Amino acid sequence: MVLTINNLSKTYRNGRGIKGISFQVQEGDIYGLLGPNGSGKTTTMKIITGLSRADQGDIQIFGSSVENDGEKSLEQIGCLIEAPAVYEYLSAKQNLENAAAYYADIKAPRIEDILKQTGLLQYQNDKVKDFSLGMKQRLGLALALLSYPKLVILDEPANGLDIEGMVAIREIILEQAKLKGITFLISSHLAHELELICNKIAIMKDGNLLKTATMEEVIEQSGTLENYFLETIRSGKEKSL
Amino acid sequence: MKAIKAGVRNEIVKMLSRKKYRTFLLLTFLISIAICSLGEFTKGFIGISLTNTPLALLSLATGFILPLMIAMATADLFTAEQENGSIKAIITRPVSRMDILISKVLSIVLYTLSVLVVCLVTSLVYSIAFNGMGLSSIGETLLAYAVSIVPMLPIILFAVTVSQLCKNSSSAVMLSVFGYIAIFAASIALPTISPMLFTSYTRWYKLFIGAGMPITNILNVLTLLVAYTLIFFAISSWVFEKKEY
Repeated sequence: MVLTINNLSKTYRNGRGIKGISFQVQEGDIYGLLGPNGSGKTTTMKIITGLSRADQGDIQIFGSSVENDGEKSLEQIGCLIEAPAVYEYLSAKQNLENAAAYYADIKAPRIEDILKQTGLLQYQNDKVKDFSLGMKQRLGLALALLSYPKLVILDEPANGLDIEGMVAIREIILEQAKLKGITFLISSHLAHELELICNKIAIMKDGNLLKTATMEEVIEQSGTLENYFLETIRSGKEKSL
Repeated sequence: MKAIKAGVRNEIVKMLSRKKYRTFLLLTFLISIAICSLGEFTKGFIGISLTNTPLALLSLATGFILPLMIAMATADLFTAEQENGSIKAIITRPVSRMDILISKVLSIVLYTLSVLVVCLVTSLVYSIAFNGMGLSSIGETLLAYAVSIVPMLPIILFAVTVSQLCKNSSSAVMLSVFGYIAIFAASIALPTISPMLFTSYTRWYKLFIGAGMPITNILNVLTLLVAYTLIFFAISSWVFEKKEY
């Protein structure tokens, strides 16, 4: 198992957060977290990547507990949480060099390779402040993929992108999953986007994980992920009434 | 250790990639030239004559220029990165938070040293070339500059602590500077507490120059400065470790 999340909870001061989230991601999965803004997707991902801490629950990445062995867990992960974490006053190449400095086996050829794969090679020496949103997002993806991670966590990777940008990001994800066998955990509020990429899905709302299913089950049951999401949300509401 | 080395390298690259840090070094050079020229100009004027220009420049640097630069650098490397989210670029790498904190602090120490080196080299070259500075004075000046990094350490850690408690970089700079001024003013207003405050020792190099070196006094001050440094380091590392992004 690549990622096991067990009974994860966190409550912020404003009362929002996540409640008893549990799910598992297997090797080779492209696992989608679908939910509206404020449903707890980012909170879950922040806890997995060590940016935030859970009040309760346990996370295992390749068998290592994030709580007890955070650094070891992070060796296997690449991530893009919320906006790309980049230094705007540095070039794309310098941003990647900075990240590469923390890994013994990541050298200049790998940096060039990842710049090529994300279509940024010709802009490698340009300052990030001059990049478009799509280019910044691709750089964020390049940073996430740089260290040959086994698990890549992407929070709203298509956020704010135009159609071309969304397609470019989608193609990179599918190529990395197919050719490199990387496992992905992707969050989005765009059902159609996740339907095109993911093989498994979890529906989240108001900090709760309502349902998990394979994409085949989703399509078989509801025709589209959007319908499946709406049906799940409505049945949840009916139950609560 | 490797993570700290990589971290220091990254932080230095980040600082020197920004125009303001390069400009600050250039400004330090120009201020050094200005002070040296002033020393030359005021030669013979009783009361305002600068007898030892490199040391006069050192007093200005440790009392005014460096605390200002330290406030700016800590706000940039801690608060601003937290504000714009770029700190996630390091936090999500396989590095402990303690290593991240140490790397950032060390890079600020290195930049502080580089400002001191600019002051030293400029004023020494000027003094040797135009004032015929003797060997004994050169040795004394080198020693004074070398020991002057010590009182800068609690100031750096004080600013790091302040930057951990602020949510935006401009308030971090202001709070660090005003905090420094307030402590400095307190040491003047209340002479009895002055020996206990770290801001009172920015010119501690004076203990090392002259005929006799008061070893006991030096050790007392050193203990005080180390204690302040460790206290501020403990507070800032605790806050940094607990922080969520």
